[in-house]
Amino acid sequence: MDADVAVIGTGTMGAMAAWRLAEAGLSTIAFERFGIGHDRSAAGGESRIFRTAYLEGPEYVPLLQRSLSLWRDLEGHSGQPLLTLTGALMIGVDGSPHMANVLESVRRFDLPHETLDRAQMAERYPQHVLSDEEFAVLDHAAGVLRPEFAIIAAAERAAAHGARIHPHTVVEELAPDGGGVTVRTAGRTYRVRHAVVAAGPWTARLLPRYAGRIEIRRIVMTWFRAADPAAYAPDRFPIFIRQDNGVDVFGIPTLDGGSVKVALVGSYGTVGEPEQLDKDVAPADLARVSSIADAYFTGLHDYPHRVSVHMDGYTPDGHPVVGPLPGHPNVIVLGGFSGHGFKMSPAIGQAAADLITTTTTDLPIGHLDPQRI
Amino acid sequence: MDAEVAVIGVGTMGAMTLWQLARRGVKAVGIERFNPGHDRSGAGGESRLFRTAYLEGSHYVPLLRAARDQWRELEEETGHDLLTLNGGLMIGGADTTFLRNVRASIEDHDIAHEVLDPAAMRRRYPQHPLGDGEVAILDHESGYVRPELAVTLAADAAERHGARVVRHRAVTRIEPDASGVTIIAGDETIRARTAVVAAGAWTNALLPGLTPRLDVQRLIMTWFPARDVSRFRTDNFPIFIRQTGDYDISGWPSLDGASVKVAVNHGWDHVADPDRLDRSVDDRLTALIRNAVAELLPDLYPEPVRVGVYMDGYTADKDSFVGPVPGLDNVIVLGGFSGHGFKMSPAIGRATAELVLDGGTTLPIGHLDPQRFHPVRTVADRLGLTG
Repeated sequence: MDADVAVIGTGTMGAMAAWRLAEAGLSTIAFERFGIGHDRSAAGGESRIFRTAYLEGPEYVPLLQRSLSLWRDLEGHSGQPLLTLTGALMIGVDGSPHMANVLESVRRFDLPHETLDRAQMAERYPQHVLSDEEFAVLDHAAGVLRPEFAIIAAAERAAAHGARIHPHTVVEELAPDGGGVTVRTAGRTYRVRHAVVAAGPWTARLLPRYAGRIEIRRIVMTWFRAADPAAYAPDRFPIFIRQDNGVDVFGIPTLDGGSVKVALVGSYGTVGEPEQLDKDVAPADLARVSSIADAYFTGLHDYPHRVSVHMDGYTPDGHPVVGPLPGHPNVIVLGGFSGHGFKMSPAIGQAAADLITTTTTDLPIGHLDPQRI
Repeated sequence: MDAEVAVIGVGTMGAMTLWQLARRGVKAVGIERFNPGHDRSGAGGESRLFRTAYLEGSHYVPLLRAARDQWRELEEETGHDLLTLNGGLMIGGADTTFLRNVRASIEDHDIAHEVLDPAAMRRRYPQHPLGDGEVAILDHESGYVRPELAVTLAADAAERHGARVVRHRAVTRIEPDASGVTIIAGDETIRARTAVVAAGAWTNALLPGLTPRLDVQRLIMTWFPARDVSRFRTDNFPIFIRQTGDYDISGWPSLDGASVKVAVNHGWDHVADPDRLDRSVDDRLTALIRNAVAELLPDLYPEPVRVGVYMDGYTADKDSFVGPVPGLDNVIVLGGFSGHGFKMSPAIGRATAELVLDGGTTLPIGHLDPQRFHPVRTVADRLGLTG
């Protein structure tokens, strides 16, 4: 055996899994087709959202709370800020399913929060232009993550615990059997007891059962200039998600002193082969986000000056796939994060490590079971 | 006439020219194929170098100092910080053309500076371990400008002064004559007394007679995560240019609190069609900058976490075209900035406004005259028989 575990893909989930596995004392090898922290897949673009009052469903809250403590642990080791709590404004229409999930998360787990009506929003957060029927929940356990840094920090922690990380190494084949898993790269073949597949958009290439079941979609981030950068600084402008009334938009305060990220969810198309991700967004495809930046916010320029393109795998139900590969208990699959995985990645890495060391986990991942896809 | 002046392209040079014209009360219109501030041409990528001890030649220094004054005026008018003078380290072999030119700029124009030997660098800027025979010159009149903010703010300021900006309209042809210029943009026609072509990578298409042709190249910016970002702040990490061995790179302090931009100082490859700028960059192409960072900047992780793709037109001598187009009446070209134009853009805008209003400028731009490639006057030229 070359190692207890091979982690395939050292991006968001793979780096976290390698960290948690190595820290648990397992001998770990990790492979990455590009460099650690690269911008060719789901992570990147300066910032990601951390939030706890979860519009996708209250069943995620324990994963998010565990992630928060792991983020702080990782941050303590890396010596650099990875998560800055700014609060999060969840903005929507009363009675909508996702606002109901936010309120149910808050109620069931007694999360620190405030509910703000339109007048209170106008008073405290005049950057947002709300309509009559909209209101907001301010989730205090929320803020901004630094994705590139976080992945590098996790990979460094994994290496500090003895993990061997191989960047610029493509895994070409994965063959599980009763006694272990054979992993073949261009250079050599490895034999390991367990494998964690965290290959993002490349998942179906190693695990063909996911071809067509996890759809790869483009994620486009756009930044707009603020007329008054101080009004959009992290201390005055919490991260936000705003749905309903025909929009699905999120945003992050300025980190560079001038640019505010305001980005649309969805609507930028799908990706065939991940190598062919189109990093260019045609000007016509920026018209909608530009009109939203102009109409829904005060003092933003009417056109993005920075655009970055990423991609993620989306499942039919929008919930990730986390757990043993059906029929192959020694392969753990972490995939299909459907555009909302980054924030919970440390807990997902922990769950993968738990499943390998003890075959079970106390983290609530039942709703993420691969059997359902 | 629809306007006194039509500025074609409201990017870096166009926005600054439009601002300089409009604040002088000139009726001006800017025509932009996308929207001011877009990231599809020369500007973008968070920061651009501002340098005064100029490796391209001491004769640029007065223009650069004029640019600094114009940056301050734009800052004052808009209330935004655009130019930060945090110093610039010029690092290389002591006896290279690069540092000889830097020293000549300093001596000719009395630029505040310090010469730092390897021991002084270890003490003050340990982020840059120097090799044998290398030295650094710290230019106190250098720093960085903010490109996206500058272009959008200049365009907004121009509009406040009364300029009109036509957005999402591509100019397809310009037809100059003795009394003005007709500009055709799809089904719209604009008539102006003077046209300023500031079309960046699209210049060749709009000025088919301009020679030599601009060589449009991709400019690629790459950001690298710092092992300890507190060592790469504006106050302890000046901008730099370093020429060591095969490497010729620039770098900026971290503005986003996480990553440090380090870029190669030349074009990466040629762009055949500016409407099809390829925004993806192959790993094989980034090897040069990854290796440079690994060897020269050990406090950074040598893997880029952000890659930005832009393009610029290059001339054979890397001096731009600023002035009347040879053989065309009433047309001024601002082009071919060859990867070092952004810093001087507000001065180029001012020079252009003066050319339009006064027929000449007090700013020293003689070396940028498009006529320099047409030095031999023919008999027909002398008799005024050329059209």
